[in-house]
Amino acid sequence: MTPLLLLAALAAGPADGAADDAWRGFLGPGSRSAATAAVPTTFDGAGGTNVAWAAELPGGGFSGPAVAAGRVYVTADSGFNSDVLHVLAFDDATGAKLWDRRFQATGRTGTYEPDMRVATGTPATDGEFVFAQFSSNDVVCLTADGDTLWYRGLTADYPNVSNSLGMSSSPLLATAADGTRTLIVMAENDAESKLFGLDPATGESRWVLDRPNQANWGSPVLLPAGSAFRNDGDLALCQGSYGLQALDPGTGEIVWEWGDGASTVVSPNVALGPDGDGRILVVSDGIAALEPVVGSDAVKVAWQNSRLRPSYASPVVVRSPAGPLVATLTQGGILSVADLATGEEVGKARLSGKYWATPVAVGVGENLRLFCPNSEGEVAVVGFDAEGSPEILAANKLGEDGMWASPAAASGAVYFRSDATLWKIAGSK
Amino acid sequence: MAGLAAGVGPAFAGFEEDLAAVVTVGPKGEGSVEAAEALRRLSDAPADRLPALFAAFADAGPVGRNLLAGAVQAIADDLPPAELAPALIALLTVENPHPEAAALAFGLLRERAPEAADRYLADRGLGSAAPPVRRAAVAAALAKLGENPEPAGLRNLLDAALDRDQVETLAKRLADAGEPVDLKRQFGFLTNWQLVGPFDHRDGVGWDRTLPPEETPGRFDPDATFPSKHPEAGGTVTWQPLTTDEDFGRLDIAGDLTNWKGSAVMLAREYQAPVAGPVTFRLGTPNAFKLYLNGELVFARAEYHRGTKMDQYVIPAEVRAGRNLLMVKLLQNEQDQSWAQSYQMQFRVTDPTGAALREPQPAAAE
Repeated sequence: MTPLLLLAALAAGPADGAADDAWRGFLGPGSRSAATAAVPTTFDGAGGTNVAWAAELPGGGFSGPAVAAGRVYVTADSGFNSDVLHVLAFDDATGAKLWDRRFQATGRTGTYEPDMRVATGTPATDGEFVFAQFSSNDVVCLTADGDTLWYRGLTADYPNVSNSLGMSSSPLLATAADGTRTLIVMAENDAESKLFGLDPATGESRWVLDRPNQANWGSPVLLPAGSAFRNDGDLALCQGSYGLQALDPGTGEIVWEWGDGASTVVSPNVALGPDGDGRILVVSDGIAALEPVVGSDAVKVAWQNSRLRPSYASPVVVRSPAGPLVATLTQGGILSVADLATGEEVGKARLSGKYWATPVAVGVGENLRLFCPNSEGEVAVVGFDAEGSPEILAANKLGEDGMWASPAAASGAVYFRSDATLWKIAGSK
Repeated sequence: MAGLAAGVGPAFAGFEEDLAAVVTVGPKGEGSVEAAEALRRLSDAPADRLPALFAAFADAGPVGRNLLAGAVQAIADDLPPAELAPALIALLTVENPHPEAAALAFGLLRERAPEAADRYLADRGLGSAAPPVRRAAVAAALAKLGENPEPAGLRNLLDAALDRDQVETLAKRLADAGEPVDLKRQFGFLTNWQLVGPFDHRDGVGWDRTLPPEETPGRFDPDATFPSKHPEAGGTVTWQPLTTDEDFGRLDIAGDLTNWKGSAVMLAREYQAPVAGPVTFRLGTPNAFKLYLNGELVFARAEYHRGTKMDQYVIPAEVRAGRNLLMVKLLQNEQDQSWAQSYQMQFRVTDPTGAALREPQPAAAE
């Protein structure tokens, strides 16, 4: 492929649109439960039970893995000042490291909080290219083979785009109604708050929006084209001090917005399942579930439940034997589930440990499993009974502290990362 | 990579042009289309082009250097360690390598040929321009020191150490050996300032407003008196000394003076630069601030109480040899939470790699 053809491929997107075998970025494919293939309920990091492979990482990070086209991508940071930024690719089948590209941070990397990391954003990938965003507001695009295509230092471009506590937004690849793809990069902060729409082929800014000067650690979330919300093209959902805004990725135009305040710590989520249960879950005074207004592109509140209060984990939709549910998790391990249709609470479970990561749901009905990693390196695996009530099925030790990253799931496997290790958990074929 | 460059003409005929396209990539993505195409070809270049790629770091900006790093790593991936290690050693031993180029070369060497990296560290690491290499060399040397090393050996390592943890470790060992270290001076903190204030910043009015001493940020008159509308100012304010003996240069306005809520103060000081040229001002504060150098605004940030640490802000600037006037406008807001009451600043001057640029002697203003 010539360079020009390569740029054309970047602009057009991947040839295959398959998503079931991939986890293309933060919160995965449209927030649906991943593939229905069974994932082991029990595993053991030290003993190797159901560990397909474990790969050593060169540095820490809160970024989750992304999986596509036989590769697993993850970011890391290393060095005394956490200013060496890594993007790595591993062979999904064997765990072999395919490449490790290191870059020098051009933005701020230090915080007073030693537990903070610079590799905080989960990379986005379409299978051919991978896009990584760091707390330093460095953004890089590489091919699946590890060739660097473009690089942006957003703090170098806009010196006050930073946060003394660090930043943690993940990039989002979205396609407008006219087929134009844009990489949405959120860099909202107290001093010079910005939202960027970058051309994924070149890294150039299609648009740059000034945002309210209020720190935001959430990420833009995809509302896919053709959703129940009657959007012809993808929309980027951004949640923050302003409430929830749905933006046209091609222009940055705010297509619609809701509310006047929402969480700046976690991200919204979307439920668009085979049941037609179109809901956008906004973290605002608990959870506010938005639904489309029939016959228009407006939204309205289907329900609001102030008792569902996620701390640092974003809400997740699970498809239990009793139907679709919303699951929220507090830092202290209180897992609450509510009916996606009504918001009525169905049940609770008390998990042990502290939780920062957003859990991942795999499978449906009786096969549904919710994987909840805690920061002490233990993963609670939760199932759901016929009424939808959660029950802890296992607590599996991966055995490494510092597991703050949200896992990924694809093709009958779940992927976890700590500061030191990337694991693939899968049953034997 | 093979094949991606197919159809682009004679191999590497345009190497210099490709290099220039990457080196000149500008801010905000400017020139990135041309750079991306050039980078594809550079990433396929033979190993004998590595020296030119590394040399180009000196001419590139921060984004260009990262693009060059990408090409270097793609080439390195295709080389066996036996061939790569000598090439990297050669790059590390050129005169005045760019610190980022040296850091990259060393990182690759350590990964692919760890024994060669250790030999390089022992031979030349302490003198490296690259902070990560210096750090590794200091760590290796520290590990070899016995229980009771000669202070001269510790001093030698202290001269090479840049990172806070290593400086503290060496300072403690020197103190145990009977040779205490002045950490403030070792790090290059500026500990003696003049302060005037409080000025009114209730409801945030002081950020955009030019304070009386801010009207002439290039001039310092120690006898000047300024009007102030802050309720605790008494109508007028004058310059007063603010100093610190704290190891990390923390100037504590709230603790040593008053935590004037909704206020702004000006801090002023002459800095005697050993030489003219690029420096970094390394400032730590949980308060909003504006920094002036010789009357020019260098940096400003309106952020409050998101934590603070040493070197929180690393601000590049150019100083002239000898006398330079520093002025900092520091602002405290009106948050009432217990964690939002700090009113403080740490300030040091280093070269771009983080090595302290200490004043030859106390500044005239002190």
